[in-house]
Amino acid sequence: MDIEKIKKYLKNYSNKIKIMEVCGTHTSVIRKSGIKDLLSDNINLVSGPGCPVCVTSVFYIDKLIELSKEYIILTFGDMVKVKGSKKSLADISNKIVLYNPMQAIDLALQNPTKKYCFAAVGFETTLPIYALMLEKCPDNLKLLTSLKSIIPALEYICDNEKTIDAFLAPGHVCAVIGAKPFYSLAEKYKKPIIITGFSPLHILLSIYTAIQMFELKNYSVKNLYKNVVKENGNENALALIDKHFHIADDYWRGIGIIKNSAYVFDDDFNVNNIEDIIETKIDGCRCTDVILGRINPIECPLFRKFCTPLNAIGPCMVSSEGACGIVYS
Amino acid sequence: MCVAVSGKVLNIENDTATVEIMGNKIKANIGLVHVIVNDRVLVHAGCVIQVLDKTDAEDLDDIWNELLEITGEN
Repeated sequence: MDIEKIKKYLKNYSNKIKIMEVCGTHTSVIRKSGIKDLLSDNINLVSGPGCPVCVTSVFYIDKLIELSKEYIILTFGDMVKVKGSKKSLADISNKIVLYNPMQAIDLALQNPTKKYCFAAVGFETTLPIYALMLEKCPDNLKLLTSLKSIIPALEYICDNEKTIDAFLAPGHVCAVIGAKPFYSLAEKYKKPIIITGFSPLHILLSIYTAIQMFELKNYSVKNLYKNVVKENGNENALALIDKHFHIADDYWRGIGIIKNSAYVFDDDFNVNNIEDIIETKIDGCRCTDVILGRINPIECPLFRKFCTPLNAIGPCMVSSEGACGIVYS
Repeated sequence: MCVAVSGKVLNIENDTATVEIMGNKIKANIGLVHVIVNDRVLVHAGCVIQVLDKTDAEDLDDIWNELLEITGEN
């Protein structure tokens, strides 16, 4: 077997298959590398809910803006443009953009008279870093969390979207949680799940693997990122997560409530009772269908005509890792 | 948001490592892993989240072996 043989196979593949790449970074590499040009039209790659910014609720943003009257909001840059019901963090001045959550600790210690709130958003990749923060958090630094778990989201998709044939699992989430949590998912829903890295070659080979396993009815997990993803993940990180967080239901923008999909801790600011959250549907916006892999962004009637990165209507256009933002750019 | 990059640990001071990533030197917290100087590591949002135990070439060899196993060409 060589790469030319694989490319030829992928270009001439004649059965229909739909593969969901769960991670926004995978979506980005697929678009930027031109991988789609190497594939037969019968291989449909769709994006999943793997951009944490895109699935963070409107109410979370509203709460941050409310808290900014009392706290200096600390946030990752991705979150700044995401709209709440009226405003985004771009509209407030009482904020600081950070790259590293641990910088928040230094900031709070250096300025003990000021009050800070970190917008703790993310999946399991970032989660242990917040757990590390909680080990050292001074009293003048609080967290408002929107921390989501990817496995319940994939279960939700498998329960509700029957057309997905295989998944490319998010490699850096897997670096923390390991390969094992995906085993029961693959078996229960009869889907090949490929854990893969982020180079174009990694992704191309994972697509080939997914197709081979689908054809062979091999519904299991194949780890093609073993250098990073161990069977049991990062056990130190998982122990720290267990120490500080417990599981709760959560609201996913564009989807609704997914059971057992949030990590929360006891002193977390309360966003709202999630049962009470009712999001206003934006006319024409099909972000929900994009996140659930029903359509590709170009099939949304607002895409490029009304919804652009400078005037993002839906959450998938806001983030650089949102499917619409990636396809647009 | 889950972007992470690999690099090599140049030195360690308390809970912080200096990691060389594509010619740039950055500081990264090592509170989630046990690392030593010269380890290759994966850095996400200013923290080392995993230690890599193979070179890129060895990693690629592993992937080919996995593919051969799937297709029954082993």
